[in-house]
Amino acid sequence: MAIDAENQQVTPEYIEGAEGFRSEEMVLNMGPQHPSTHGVLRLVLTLDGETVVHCTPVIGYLHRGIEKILENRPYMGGIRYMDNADYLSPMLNETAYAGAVEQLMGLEPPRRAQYIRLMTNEMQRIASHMVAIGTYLLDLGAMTPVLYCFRDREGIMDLFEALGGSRFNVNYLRVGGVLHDFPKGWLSRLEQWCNTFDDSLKELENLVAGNEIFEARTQGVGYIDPQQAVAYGLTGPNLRGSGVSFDLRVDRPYMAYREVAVNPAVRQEGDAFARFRCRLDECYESLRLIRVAMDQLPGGPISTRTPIALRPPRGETYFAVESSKGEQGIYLISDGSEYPYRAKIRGPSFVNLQILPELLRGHKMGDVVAILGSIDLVLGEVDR
Amino acid sequence: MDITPRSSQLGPSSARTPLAFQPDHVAELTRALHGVEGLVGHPVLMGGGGVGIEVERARLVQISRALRDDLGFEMLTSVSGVDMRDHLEVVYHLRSLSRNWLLQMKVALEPGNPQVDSLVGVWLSANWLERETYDLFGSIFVGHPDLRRILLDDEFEGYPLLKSFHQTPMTVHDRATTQVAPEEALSGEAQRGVERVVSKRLGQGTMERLHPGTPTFGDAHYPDQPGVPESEGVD
Amino acid sequence: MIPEIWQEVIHFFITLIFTLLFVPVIPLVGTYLDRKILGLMQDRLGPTYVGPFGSLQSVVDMVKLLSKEDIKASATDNIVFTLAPVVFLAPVITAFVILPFSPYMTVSALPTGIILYVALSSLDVIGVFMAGWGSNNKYALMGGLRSAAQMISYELPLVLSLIPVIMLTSALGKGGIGSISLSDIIRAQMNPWWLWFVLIQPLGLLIYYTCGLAETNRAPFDLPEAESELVAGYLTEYSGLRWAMFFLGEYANMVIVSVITTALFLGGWSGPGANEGFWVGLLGGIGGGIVFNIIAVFWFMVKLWAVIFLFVWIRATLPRLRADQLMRFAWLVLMPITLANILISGFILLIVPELMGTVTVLQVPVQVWILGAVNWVMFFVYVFLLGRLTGVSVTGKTPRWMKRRVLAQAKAQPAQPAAQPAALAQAQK
Repeated sequence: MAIDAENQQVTPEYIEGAEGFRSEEMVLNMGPQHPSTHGVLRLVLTLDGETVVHCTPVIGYLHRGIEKILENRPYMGGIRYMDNADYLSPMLNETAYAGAVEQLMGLEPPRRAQYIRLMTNEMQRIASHMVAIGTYLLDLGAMTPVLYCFRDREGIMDLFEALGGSRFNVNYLRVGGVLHDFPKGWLSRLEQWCNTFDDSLKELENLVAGNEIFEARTQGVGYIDPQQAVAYGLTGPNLRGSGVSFDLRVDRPYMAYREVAVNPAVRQEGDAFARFRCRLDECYESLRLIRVAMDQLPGGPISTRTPIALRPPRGETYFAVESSKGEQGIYLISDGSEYPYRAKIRGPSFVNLQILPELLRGHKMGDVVAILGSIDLVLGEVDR
Repeated sequence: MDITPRSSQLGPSSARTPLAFQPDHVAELTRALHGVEGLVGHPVLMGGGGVGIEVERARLVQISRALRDDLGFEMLTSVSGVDMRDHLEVVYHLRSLSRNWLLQMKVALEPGNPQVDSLVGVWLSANWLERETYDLFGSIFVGHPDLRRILLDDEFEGYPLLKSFHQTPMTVHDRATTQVAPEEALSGEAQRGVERVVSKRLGQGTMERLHPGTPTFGDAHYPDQPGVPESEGVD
Repeated sequence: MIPEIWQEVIHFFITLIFTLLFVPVIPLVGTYLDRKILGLMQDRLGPTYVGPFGSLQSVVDMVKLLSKEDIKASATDNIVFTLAPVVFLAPVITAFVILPFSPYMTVSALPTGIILYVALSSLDVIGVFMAGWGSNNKYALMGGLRSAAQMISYELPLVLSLIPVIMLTSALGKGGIGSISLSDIIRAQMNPWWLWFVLIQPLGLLIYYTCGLAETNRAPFDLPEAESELVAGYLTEYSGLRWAMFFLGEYANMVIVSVITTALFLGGWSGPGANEGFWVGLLGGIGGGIVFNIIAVFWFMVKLWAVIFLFVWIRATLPRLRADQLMRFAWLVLMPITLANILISGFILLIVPELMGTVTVLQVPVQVWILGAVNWVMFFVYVFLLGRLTGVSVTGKTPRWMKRRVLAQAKAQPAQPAAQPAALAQAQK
């Protein structure tokens, strides 16, 4: 099959079948507007009958130039742009950026701030996984679990709104700590939500994870070999679903993860069901971590006061957090002024998306949605 | 700095101590790097337990293979370009999952000829990462199977993350002249309208194609018009 | 007194109008209930705006659909395109004549009711084919073919699963001769009024209902209608009233499947109080007949709407089956089970009299009890096997046999990593 890389033309070849029956490969465009592509992702699929022969993802529809913007904003103003990168886990992105600047400056935020960051990170992880699970099931045809997942997510969004004023782009973290302390009664609301989420997880477990049709559609589909996963740079549940136990919270702990132990969710099967199962198990783990953090929450200041026009010393650093999608890294170069010289965002979904053509090859058309949903892409992170 | 765990639930072995507090891990990596030839200068300790090296451009692939095969850096995590004003640099971040190391590898490109070998044959994840770096910086990766723009559209001119990328619109309308193409012929009234459109401020016309990261701050002008403030350079 | 002939005519027209009113009213009520119940199950409200509890929503939708512009692609095969909804809808409406709402409210108590129903449901496939072809759209064609294949595959188990029920009528009905008339089948379930065939043939009900789900393109077999699948179904090019006709046909089909389920398995109009002799004796001929009819229709409606509620419930709960899994399920799982059911049921119905020797009054109950017991056992075995075959238990741990199989399958076809480009070899220094 001829691919003209210059003009992105795909010319299907003719296939000689049995009895000299000629059939043509069909090029199907799963366009940027599609209910299942989880954002503005365009997949150009080449099909031989029902089998996918080749797939070309076309991205860039959501490119907003965040890295260039960050070079023109002071650090305090720029941290808000990290919310837009992975718009389903803004807190985790902010943690990456704030942590990168702190690492560059050698600044250790106060312990209370670290624990608050841990709690909000884990809540954000649960929220992101709820979207991943819910939309995955919606793509596969089950209309109900997505609403249950989003209902639980509403609890988290309400808590974030009480905390930072906004449900999604909370802009709550600062270099040196967090913006302000919890409002009155927030912790007890969080505890209440944790208890309701326990029940919701049980419900999800029964409704979804044990459903035979769901298992029939996701087991054995989209197998990722562990060596291949590492070679392609996959991180997060995609990697752990293939048996490679690498979790940045465990292996390269940062902030309060140095004190709170995390059990990573690892599965050996490597198929879409394993990745889904990893995400569900991570929800359990995050719930446990929130409870532990609430339990161990130290007192003290919530931020080391840094000037608004913060000027870190000249230098460079790379700091990565374990986001819900994988390794969210910031490579930061500072030249001593109040603007970063270079802030590179290493988005996990961008690297995870690379493996999609390999995964889809040989699968049937009906599996495309199952595999695409199991990689859990957020196009904001892919395109930045 | 107090890092003792307070909760009784945590046993002594359950919380992993971080790498930065295990200087022998970093020392191990630094020692292992001594055996690698072709480094420019010495390995540098970076924050967070990472080590940074700079690599000669000619030996990039060789060193990468050595890093992957001998030192066990199985994963290429990130490829980033940096515009150092007189030359470009490409910065690679490598991870060794088995030994829990983080390595930063820098390579400087020639000022006028930003070419470097592609690492697609060493790590598969380099494919899109290098495409992105080419897209935003213009660094050519020799040997890349499919080097074309990935985030921006194919007709985009320029490499946005370069410091020399100015805030110009990518397509500029010709001012209406007497010599108009027949199919674009406009009446006199409409021609006056076209002129007005062209001289509008940035961001308000519908035909300019800007990189979305270009800071306009509401008041940017064309650089060839008088009275244009030069963008504040960072020293 | 009105002369007999006029009584008959009035009776016929009342029945006809009642049944024909069912046809347009059912989709209206059905869509509303679909959305409302789906919404309530999904922790949201569903339509609330138009009318009390949003009950006029479907009326408003119908008005909207009627007032839409009739868009037709210019390159469609016009005759086929235009006739497809008609060919889809006409058999469905025709099948309404055999539905036995009560002994007196059956438009046509055909002695071959089941055969007519089966024949008419087979005609729907032609409509689907025509829709897919006439759209002149390769995606619609593929979707139409897939949907037609699905409908054809599931018709066989559907029909075959009704055969043991018909066999039962020969055991339980009058005169030892079976019947394929719906009214007679209902009467056979009235011997005690609670001896519905679901108690004797639960497996038949399960298979019939599953095939009914597939025939009407409802979840989990709604691949042709899925928005998130790649290929849009055969309905792509239809909009406005043409689409409404397909929709109407689908919901009417759903009602017919539910009616057959109710009639054959749930005892039709039987229920406490639906005793004709009692009411006629109490209130005299006409009055007693009318009261009996009302009660009979009431019980029929209760069961009918319970079965339709089950359609909606399953739609809210289950994800979609993939196309090949669907076909595999029909041919490799449902067909053997259905044939086994027929074999075993027939075997029991024939062997028991042989073993019992003389013909006694006990013969029928013994046959029925043994058959029922065997069938319940088969039912549970089928459900158990289904769970094993397609998935794992609720604990979420993959059993070792499945793990081995999954890993073995995946390792058998390892995805090749990208081949090293030749140009790179030259770039090596």
